[in-house]
Amino acid sequence: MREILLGYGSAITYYVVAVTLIYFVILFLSYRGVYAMRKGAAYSKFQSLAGSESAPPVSLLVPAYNEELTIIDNVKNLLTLHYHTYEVIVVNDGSNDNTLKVLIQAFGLVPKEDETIRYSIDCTQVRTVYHNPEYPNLFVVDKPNGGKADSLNAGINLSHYPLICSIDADSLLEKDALIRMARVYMENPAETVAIGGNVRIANGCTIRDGVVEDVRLPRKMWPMFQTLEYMKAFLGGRIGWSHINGLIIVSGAFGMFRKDKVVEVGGYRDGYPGEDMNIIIKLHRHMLDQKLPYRVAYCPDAVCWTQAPDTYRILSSQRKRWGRGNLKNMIENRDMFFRPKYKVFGMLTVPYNVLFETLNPYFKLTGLLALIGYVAMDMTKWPVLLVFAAINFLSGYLLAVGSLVLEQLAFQRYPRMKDMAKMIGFSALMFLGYYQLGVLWRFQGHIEYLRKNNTWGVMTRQSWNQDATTTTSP
Amino acid sequence: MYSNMNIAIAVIAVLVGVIVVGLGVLFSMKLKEIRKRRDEEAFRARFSDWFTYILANADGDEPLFIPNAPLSKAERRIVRERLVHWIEQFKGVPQRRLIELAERMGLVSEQLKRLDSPFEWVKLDAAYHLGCMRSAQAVPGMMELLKSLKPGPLAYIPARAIAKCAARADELREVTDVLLSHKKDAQPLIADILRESELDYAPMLATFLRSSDPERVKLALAAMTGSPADGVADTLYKLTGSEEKELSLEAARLLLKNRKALTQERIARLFAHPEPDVRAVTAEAIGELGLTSSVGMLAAGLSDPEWQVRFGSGRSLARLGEGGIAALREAAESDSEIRRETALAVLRETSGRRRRTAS
Amino acid sequence: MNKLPEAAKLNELMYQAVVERYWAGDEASVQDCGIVLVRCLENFEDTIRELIRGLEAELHTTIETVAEPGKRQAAFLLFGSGMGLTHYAALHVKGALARLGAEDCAMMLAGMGKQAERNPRYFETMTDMFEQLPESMEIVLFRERYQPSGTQSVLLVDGDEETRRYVRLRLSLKGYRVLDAEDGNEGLELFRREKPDVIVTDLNLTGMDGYHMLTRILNEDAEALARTVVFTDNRVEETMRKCYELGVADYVTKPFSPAELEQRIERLL
Repeated sequence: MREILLGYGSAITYYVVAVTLIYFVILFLSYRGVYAMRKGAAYSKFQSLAGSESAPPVSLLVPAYNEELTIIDNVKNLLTLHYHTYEVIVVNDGSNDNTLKVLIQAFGLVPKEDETIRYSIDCTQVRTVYHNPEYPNLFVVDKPNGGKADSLNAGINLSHYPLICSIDADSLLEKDALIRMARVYMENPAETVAIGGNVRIANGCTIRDGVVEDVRLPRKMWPMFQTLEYMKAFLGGRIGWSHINGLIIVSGAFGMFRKDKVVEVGGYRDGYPGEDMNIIIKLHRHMLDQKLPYRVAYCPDAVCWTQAPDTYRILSSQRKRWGRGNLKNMIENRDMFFRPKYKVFGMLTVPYNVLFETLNPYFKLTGLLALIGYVAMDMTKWPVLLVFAAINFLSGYLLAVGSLVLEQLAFQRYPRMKDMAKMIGFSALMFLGYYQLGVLWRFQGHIEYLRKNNTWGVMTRQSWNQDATTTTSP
Repeated sequence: MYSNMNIAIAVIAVLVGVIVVGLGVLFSMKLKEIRKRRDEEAFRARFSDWFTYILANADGDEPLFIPNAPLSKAERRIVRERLVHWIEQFKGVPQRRLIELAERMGLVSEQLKRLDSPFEWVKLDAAYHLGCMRSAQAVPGMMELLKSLKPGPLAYIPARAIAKCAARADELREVTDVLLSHKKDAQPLIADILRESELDYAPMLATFLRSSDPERVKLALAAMTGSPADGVADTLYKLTGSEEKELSLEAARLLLKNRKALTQERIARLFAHPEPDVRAVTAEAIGELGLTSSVGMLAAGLSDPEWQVRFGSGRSLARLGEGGIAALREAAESDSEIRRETALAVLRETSGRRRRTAS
Repeated sequence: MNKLPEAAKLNELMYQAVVERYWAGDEASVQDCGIVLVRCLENFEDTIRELIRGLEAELHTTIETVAEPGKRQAAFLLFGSGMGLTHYAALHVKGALARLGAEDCAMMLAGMGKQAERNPRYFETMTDMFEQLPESMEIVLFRERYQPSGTQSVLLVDGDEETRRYVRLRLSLKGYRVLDAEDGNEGLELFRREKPDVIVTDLNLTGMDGYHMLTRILNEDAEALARTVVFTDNRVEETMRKCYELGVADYVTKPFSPAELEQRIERLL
């Protein structure tokens, strides 16, 4: 018995080392990818491109459900981007609060009768389109509640331009984020189907007139942890994955898509959660099925600032939702697992996601339990537990340091030495509880998913930004 | 067991080692960054007077003098960046005078040397700056760099630089050849790069337009903005018959901007085009150009199978005055459902608009 | 503030020197004249005499030094030099003073064209302003500050600080009173308060976008857009069309030629 436990525990330790190595390969790819990205951006004169008619017009889609507090700032911010031609389409997804009313008031909107929507993809019937000629680029769509995906589809149906960009209503874009992204598209329109942006945490920063002015680290603990987590995921992970065209997710907070391709795959899936990962998987599948050359690109210097949840309750429900979305997408697309037909995506991305993301909690928890069991039978073997913990900690910490180096190398958004020291410190503190909670939340998310499998119909009616714990329990 | 433990301890040792190195790198980079920022501020303050002098007199006729103290390497970099910034902001006399100043300060020759560096990133940096400083001399070196790069974002850096500097049209042609050979469909971006050139490349576009290579034709279409020269109208009209949808559509769009080239017959042919998008832009253009003679044609367009064409026709009718509105009213009572629906929707739209402008 | 006798003395001496020169030659030989006014340590003028001689040789010009008896203020008159050379000479003077260890000096740069400025009042205003100049090591351009009554005002709205500073400098050298705003809200507020004669605005602004600001201005003053130049890097035909439809008078794209921008502004006045 003890031997088995120890054997299993050792196997899991190797698993952790393997994960670390793989992360390292990805981090290495990130370093390679970031070189061309940075040089391309620094010398491309994208600033002047923002006024050139060669840059394609873009439709920004902002699904809003109960966002009365943030929506005005958000829209003001989006209306002042540095880009020659774009429109902002806010989709009010049947909010219970005053989202629509505050919009109408703030922007003097009136119903627009001369607008005929073509329903090229399925979505709930739109009630009214609001507009004000003094804000020619702003459209507000009012429709009954149908979920985030449904709202995005409605936005796509109304949109007038060939590129679409999904943006969360609680986020702010940097002034040049759109042109930076469009540049990446323009360099290769033949293959680019989607481009992800970099999401950063705005808690702690000074915001004036919808513009992030002074970049500081969050003062509260939960957002601070998330800042580091995002940095690691976006810089250490996504740049690398995009380098080998294996990106599985483009953040719903800020991503650009070719409209024709999104329409070809039938738009966003009605349902919840994980629609941002779902659309990317569908695009990969569609392009690979058609045997067309394509890429899902990533643009780390196009920055979107978002408000991170700063309480345990909201954060945990968000993470459970992510866990649920991830599992759901993996189960629905299990046929892609190790299918040579799906190339890098099927052979690397999906297996990686299943083995190292979706199943990660199970491996780590059972490994820990096995070793605890082993030590419980013979207390003198306590160093085994220590070694397991040390390997877990050090491998994770190394990756954190790696992504901090990448940030410092390429972006330098946090200018002060104090910030650097704080980030290094918190990167270590994350292992005393935060990571473990992350594992737990993901696990709880999986349980939620399994329990709710039979109440699918109710799920699709869910609203996307609602606090999941209070409204989705069956 | 022991071997496992030993491996594990070895792994730990390696991890600790790499972490320590990583942290060391991190801190030294940060220190370097902070020092650099501080120096930069000091330098900026030191040269701000001189820069005010340069800018205040950038388009005068007195000579511009270089700073009266020798510059360190770091200072040269700062002065170069600021000059390059303003060269890019200006056109005409002040731009030429600043370029001339940069040449006199040796900033150009210094970059020309860097163009021969063995390192790619040094060459890219040099190419970018030489492009901004419009150094015709650098073109061969930059062309070599352009050809040595893989297709991708980096290739556009020397390409743009060459377009800024090129003194001969064949250099521009060579750049477009290289970029088109990458097969990225980046014609709009290439067109933007061509616009950087001060040469007259319209003849080159005209030959592209007549070429049998659809990639070249697309580039020509993307680069011809505004109203294209009259000379190409016939070629454009021929292109509207192209099998490739994109080509025929772009060609139609450009042609429809040129009122002189639009005969009644050509409009009728475009409006009967098999491609719905071409019919739609034609319908729109008729309203835009106010061609009242085409009311009958637009009225027929109200029963087009494609909705864009129907709505385009309807909206154009609404812009064509009495005759157009009358045609819409008539269609609103038609037996054909789509015809009636379209006309009604357009009438609703226009009355909505009128109410708004009245209020 | 009471005029100090030294300044009055300097003014007198300077005017004398200029007028002498003026009367000495015939009408046709009237030249430009650049002036560098300096107030610094006592006897500073003696210590930089060497430098001035050097500058004369470098710039091929005659520099006449006028110092008031108290030896704290001096004016350097560069006959035959325009603002460019004078500005350059001022850089040298400043450098030399800094090497002397002076920290609080006032320096002002002025120049005279061929006719209009050659009257006593111009000199008086110049010395007045010089008198009130706080002591710092900044070189102040007289024309930038000088605003005779009836000066026409330009509201400049642009988000880029460097561009704003530059255009502001250029326009004030041309004799306009420049009000600058860095974003749309500030621009609108300045418009309401100051009722500028001309508006020069970018479209790409923070807070409120430029097009919307123009519609607001239009609502408040139907005539204002006819005195508005859009000055932007947005080179798209459609945008230009929309702006002209709204009623703006002119549209200048960046990269720009300052002379052209000035000319377009002038046309509206």
